[in-house]
Amino acid sequence: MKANLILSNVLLGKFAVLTLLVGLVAGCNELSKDTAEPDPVGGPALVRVLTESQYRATIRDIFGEDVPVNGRFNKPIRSHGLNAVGSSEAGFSPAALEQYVISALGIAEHLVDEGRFNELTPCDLPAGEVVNERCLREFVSEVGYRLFRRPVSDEQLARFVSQAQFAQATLASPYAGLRYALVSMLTAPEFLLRVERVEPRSHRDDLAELDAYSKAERLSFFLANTSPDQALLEAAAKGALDIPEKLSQHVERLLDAPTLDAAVRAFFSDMLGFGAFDELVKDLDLYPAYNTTVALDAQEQTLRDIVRHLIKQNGDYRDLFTLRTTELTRPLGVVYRLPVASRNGWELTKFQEPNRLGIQSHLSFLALHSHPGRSSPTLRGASIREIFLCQEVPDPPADVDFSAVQSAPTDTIKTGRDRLQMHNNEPSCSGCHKIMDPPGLVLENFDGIGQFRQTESGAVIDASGDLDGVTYQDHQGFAQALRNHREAPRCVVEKMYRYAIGRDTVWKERYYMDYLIKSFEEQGYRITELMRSIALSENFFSIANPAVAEFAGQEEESL
Amino acid sequence: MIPKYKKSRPRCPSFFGRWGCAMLTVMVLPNMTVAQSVEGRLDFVVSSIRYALTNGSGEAAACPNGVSRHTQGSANMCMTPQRGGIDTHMNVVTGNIKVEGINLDNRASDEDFEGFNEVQGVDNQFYRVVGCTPAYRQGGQGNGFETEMRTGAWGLLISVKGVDDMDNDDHVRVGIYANSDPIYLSAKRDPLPYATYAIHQDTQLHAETDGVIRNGKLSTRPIDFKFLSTVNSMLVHRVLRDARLEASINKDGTISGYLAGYSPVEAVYDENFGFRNAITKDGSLAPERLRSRSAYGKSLVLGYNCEGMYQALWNQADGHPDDFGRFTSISQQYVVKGIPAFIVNVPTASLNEELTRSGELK
Repeated sequence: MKANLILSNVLLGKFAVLTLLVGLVAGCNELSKDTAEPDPVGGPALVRVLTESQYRATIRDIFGEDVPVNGRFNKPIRSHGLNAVGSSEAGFSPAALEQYVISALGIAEHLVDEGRFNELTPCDLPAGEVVNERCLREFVSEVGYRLFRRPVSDEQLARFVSQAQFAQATLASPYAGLRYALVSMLTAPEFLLRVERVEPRSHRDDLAELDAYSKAERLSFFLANTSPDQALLEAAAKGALDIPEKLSQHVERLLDAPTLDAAVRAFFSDMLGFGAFDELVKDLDLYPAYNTTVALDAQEQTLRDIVRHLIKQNGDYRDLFTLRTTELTRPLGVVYRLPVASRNGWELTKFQEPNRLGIQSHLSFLALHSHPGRSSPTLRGASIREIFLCQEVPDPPADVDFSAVQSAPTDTIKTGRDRLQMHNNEPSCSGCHKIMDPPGLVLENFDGIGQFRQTESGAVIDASGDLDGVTYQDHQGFAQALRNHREAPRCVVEKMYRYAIGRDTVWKERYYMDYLIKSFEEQGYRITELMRSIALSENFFSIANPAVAEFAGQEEESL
Repeated sequence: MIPKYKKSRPRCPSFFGRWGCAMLTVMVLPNMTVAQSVEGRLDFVVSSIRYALTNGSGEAAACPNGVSRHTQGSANMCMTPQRGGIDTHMNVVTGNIKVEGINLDNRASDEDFEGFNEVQGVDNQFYRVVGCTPAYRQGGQGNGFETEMRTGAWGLLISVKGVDDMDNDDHVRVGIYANSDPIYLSAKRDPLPYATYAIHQDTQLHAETDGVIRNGKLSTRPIDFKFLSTVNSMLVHRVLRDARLEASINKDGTISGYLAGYSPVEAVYDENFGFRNAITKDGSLAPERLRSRSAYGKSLVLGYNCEGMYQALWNQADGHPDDFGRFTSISQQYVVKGIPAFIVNVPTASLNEELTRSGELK
């Protein structure tokens, strides 16, 4: 723990290029009996970069819906299938910091232009006059409390007030002090980084736990994808989050809040890897219907379906793989070849094509896991395995010969299956392709952006196959097989927990994973129940005590 | 004669595939939130439209008296073409030339043209009027009205209902509607199939008639209809009487052929040359200055005099004789292509309607 705190302090002080490692954890576990939660294992306290959606939500919540965020955000680092895990391994480049400055200046300018600083300061601002020190101190204390997600320390207060006074003296503008105090806070590591702080645990030497404000922070970003609100911060100040009943009240409050939608969207957007859409290109000669509107709407379509089914309808997570009801916009209707009567906005409809069902048949999956000019059973198959089943597919060998799969159609090689059969004659390739190809080939009825097709190069597409022993003839059968796959709920549980705590799970946490999976099953695979279970579990807030745990400087074996 | 309606077992040609069948079955009714299926419907948005003229060969021989031209410095008679003197600069097609189009009156007279693909008796007097005007020759600007269709200013929808067999069907119901939505284009500005369009809420811009499909070719009963196009931000009505759609339902899912009929002479002058009754978006008469100068400017650029065009239209009229035997309409034909689409009938109020009503946008 000391090592992590030292690291954090260095980072907070210097705010230079930053690289954070997921620490190692050693904890004690005992096999769970019955339904009791296994003893917590804990991991290292982390420093995580605020994600783009968390940054935007925080600005919105503190300063208002209309406040612009003009800077561009760094491409997130993906680790263990989640950007959330990568956020604890990320760093800031000078260019990235510049973008945060741009955002901060834009926010401050907007607040000045709109005359909104009066709302943010408890003191009366004298019109046209320089803001006095008392006022600056109150401003930094109030706004800093929300931005830093904990009370502003004396050292921080002195730092930001002196910066404000310097700006005020240099620029001789009434609001310069407040503006640059805000810019300083918005570019401070205390805001941009989620620095978890720990405190000893009373009855376990080998474990520590998050301090009250870090608990509030972890809880809020997990269940609302935004910074803690006033109520949560107040609860942290009073120590209420250490009391199970009070903690439960806040968890229920967050689970009932509209912000739950945003939290679920953020998780699935991360799990489905939607960040890769920023770099997705398609050959417009081959796929003229693809454009940026379609790309954005495709992501939104999937997230809407997920939220509607899992939150609004409290549906079974596994049914996402067989869902036929969806929401479309007109640009999406062109690709799905479905009518969309609503001229503007979204319309609830149903897929008509028998083989179009489940989020794996959405454009957001099919287009994302394809090449610019053609579909890819390999990419899609690997993605089905990795995203929905948490099964790792090894990287291809360095000297792999792709010529067979990239060749133009011939009289005998017309479909993706034909090409892969040629390719798989290579012994070094066939092993992995046996894993990847079946769930990818069944999606060959959808072209490189997800438009339905029955043939490729004039040949009828054979979509049959088997998924880990369950055979199917078409995508309808595959969707059922995926829905009923025992690894599908296990995978989402593991990913949800990793997402919540910002690191990969470790071997000793397998009992806790089993406990969560069993609970998930008993609760009918309801995602909100899973989130509740995680948020109320001791494991969620536990941190391995580095003074006791044996950190060897390398990652512990992952699950 | 259109045969009586005869139901046959629904069939879906193999070239449309399974999805083609689904295309045939989809229809959305007003205010539905979930698409529901009704069998046997083909919807198209017109993706290309131009006047039926010639293919460019033999154009010189078609005009032995030379081409028409605008008289430099002439007075602007576009608003009152009937007051103009005889225009000696206006020439019409008198030579023998093959012309695009169909035989509208099932007769072959001396004034009719020979068509392509051995079609006889093509009624296309509009071409006879404009065929010697350079802008209406191959590559000219006379067909520029399609440009504004591509920008989304106007559009046409074609719906074929009750289709049991796309090769041969004794009875289908064909609807031709003005389009309320801009045509959906790719990034390369090509119209995209399978987009959804709402029909115009003005029922005067709707027309429905019976039709028949023979060997993949759709033919309709004659019907009167009009649709909108735009010029210089003004709306003009294009009117066709006793119009017919003759079009092939192609193997690639598109439709192509002729939309042909008789346009009242005054109307065809107004929609193409005079703009005397051009209106604004809210239905009021467009400013006189805009109408007049647009008409004169067009005559200047395209190479004719308004009064000459007006006289020629009356001289070459071949339809709907009045009580005195004077023809009051002129045969006019469009070459149209349509791509698959979904046609819906939903309220089409603008998102900004509330603002417009409150006057904030005015």
